[in-house]
Amino acid sequence: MCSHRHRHRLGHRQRQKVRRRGGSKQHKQRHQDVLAAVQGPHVDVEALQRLAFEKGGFLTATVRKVAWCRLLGVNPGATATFPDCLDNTYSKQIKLDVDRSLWQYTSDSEREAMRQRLSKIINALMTKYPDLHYYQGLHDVVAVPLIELDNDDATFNIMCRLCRCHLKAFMGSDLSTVTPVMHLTLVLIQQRDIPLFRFLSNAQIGGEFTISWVVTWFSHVLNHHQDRCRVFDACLASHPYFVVYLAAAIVLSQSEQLQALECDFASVYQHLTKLGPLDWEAVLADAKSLEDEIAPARLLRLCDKAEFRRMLRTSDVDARYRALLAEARTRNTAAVDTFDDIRVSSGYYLSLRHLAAFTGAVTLIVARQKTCQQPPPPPPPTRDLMRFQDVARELGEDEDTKRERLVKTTTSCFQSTVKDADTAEYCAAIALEVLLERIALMLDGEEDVGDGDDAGDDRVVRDDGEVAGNEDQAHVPLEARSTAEMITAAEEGAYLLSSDRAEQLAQSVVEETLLDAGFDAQASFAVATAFEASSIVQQAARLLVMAYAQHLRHPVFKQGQPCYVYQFEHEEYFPGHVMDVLGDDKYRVQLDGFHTVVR
Amino acid sequence: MATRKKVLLKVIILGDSGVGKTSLMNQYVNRKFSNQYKATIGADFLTKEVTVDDRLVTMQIWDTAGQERFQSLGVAFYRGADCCVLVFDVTVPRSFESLEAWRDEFLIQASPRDPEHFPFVVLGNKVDLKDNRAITENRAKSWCDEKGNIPYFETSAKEATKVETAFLTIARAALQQEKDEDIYHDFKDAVNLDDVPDKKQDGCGC
Repeated sequence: MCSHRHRHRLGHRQRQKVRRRGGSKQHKQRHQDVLAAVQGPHVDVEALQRLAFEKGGFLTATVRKVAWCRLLGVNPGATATFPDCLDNTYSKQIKLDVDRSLWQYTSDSEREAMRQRLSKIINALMTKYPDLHYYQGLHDVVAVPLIELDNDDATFNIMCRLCRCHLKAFMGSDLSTVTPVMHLTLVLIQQRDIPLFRFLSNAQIGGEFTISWVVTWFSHVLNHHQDRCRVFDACLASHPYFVVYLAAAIVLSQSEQLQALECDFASVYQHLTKLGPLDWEAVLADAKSLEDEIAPARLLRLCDKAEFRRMLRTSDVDARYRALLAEARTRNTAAVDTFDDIRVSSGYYLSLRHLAAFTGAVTLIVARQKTCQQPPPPPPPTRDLMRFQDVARELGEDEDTKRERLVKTTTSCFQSTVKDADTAEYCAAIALEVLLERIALMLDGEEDVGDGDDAGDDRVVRDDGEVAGNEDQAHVPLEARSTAEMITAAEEGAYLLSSDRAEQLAQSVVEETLLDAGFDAQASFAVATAFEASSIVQQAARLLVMAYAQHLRHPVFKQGQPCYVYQFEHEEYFPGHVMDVLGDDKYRVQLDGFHTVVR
Repeated sequence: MATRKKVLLKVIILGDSGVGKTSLMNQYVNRKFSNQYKATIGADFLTKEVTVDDRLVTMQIWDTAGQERFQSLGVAFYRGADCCVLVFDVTVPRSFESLEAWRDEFLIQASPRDPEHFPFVVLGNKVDLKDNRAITENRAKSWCDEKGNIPYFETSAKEATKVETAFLTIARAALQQEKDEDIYHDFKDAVNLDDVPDKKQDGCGC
């Protein structure tokens, strides 16, 4: 009895102790978790990302220094190399903005000292990256790590990464790369809350109200430094578009209040830009689950066509972020400049988009032809092929390097959905074979345009699914076509491929196209590549093999090669290996242990 | 028929970064001046009820970001403006030279029905900094005269010099513009014109 009471008292005392020291214990634990994540041979970026969304995020300046730096692939102890001369085209603007900031420092001398440091770091950034442009609000961003870490070197190193990745879209020469990012907030709202979306549309609210949120990661509108740091924890640990999810989560949390307002621009704008105190932990969690539900890649696919086109201008965000994460994982202790060397060639992207343009256009032509009952299907739009080839040439590499790179890229495309690396590489090789074959034929002038339709080789497909002839451009020499035109075509195709409608169309016609049209080579190729783009890669791989065989009309398989065989009775494809090449397009194929002969 | 309805006057303040747009708005609406303003990102507005020539009107005053890159946001904010206030800093010549560009850009983006007669008011701010003055009153006035007799005021948001007077003129100009629009609308309703005059005929700044 006595001992029980004693134990009870002790327990009570311990609980009190825990409660009293609750904050610091939590801090200590978070510190240990962060250290555990960064101390292995590789930085556990995923763990850091998870910790950023735990209650309070990284909690203290000490933890933040390690976590923020490591999330960006920066060594927390690294010194920074500041440019010798800090003069740049934005020095005056920077002075104007810095001189109106850091009011939280009540002592004039302290504020002045901080302003000088802030100014030095921003000017150093703008001098180091003359291709980037300063925007009002960047000074709010830089102030957050500067105040929190109280370390110019770490702040500069962190900002170097952010300017090249997360904030890059905001640092163009104008707002053309910012506007589409702001618009994404509305796309998300449309997905989650249609009445609210309609209400905002009726009030003529566009994405403009989010600009100070998005470009400053809320640091411009938040009054407390700790709140700014909390938001930075989450943003630094996330995809560059996370801030858009955060903006959407905030607006969604205000749905009722907003819809109770008078439906006019000023009232709604006022409410949105003058939000009262928010429960940031809740909003961050909402934003995170919104991002989990609608990943950035999917978000882009939800944009309408015009917005999608604009989004493509910021399309290297993904590549940059992936590169940044890769470097963060390697626990790189080298100078921070390595990441800056990443060159995301626009030509490279363009070539991928042209592949998309080509396949997208063909798919819809096929679909259109099927619904109109107008056999035979027209050939693929030659113009797009030529453009693709032209872009490939722009890469300025010799054939082998170019090919190697294309195979590598295409493989990685396939790999995103096919887990097995060998299969992916195989699919990629076949896809490219077909493509390059067609390019070669075309260059040799041997391309048979099939039905002889004047517009047949130069059709463009509009978003309404109509096929429009574009005769006047059909025979314009390659050199005469502008890059802008090429980009437009690429964007068109990329959009077509990204829209759910194109996917549906492709799916709806695949069976008939293949079976009714007697495995027409072009049609199957088109549909197959369209499937590739719509992520049904396994299917695409099978169809590509079939199409390839049809197209070339000569043995395509070597002994021992894997292949797929279509079984009419089962209406399904089965994997197998080529046992013998019998000639005359016949093969002996080992199929699930059976031997069979197929054409 | 539209004379006694509640009148809302939309006013846009434009000008280079740091000329005092936010300060002027706050001085007028809240009668306060603070050194502790921060850069404006995007746009913000305040409203003030005021009596102009015996009529009670609500002024909705929009304060905008001064950095040139934010200009393209204008379309959203300039819509339906009744008057545009162009501000420069009398101690910074560049801010005076930019007035023309701000005016042109406004006309392009707001595309008012009658750009020739759309009301502007120019404010030369920071006249309290007498020692640093770089733009004389005469120079500013002659530019305003050239541009179709734009009213000009020399203000100091810090010392509240001429702010009230300037905004009264702004309110009058906006009210006049609002009335003209009403007349236009009444006329349009009555006659049902199909042929809307080309809004952009004077708007090309290429």
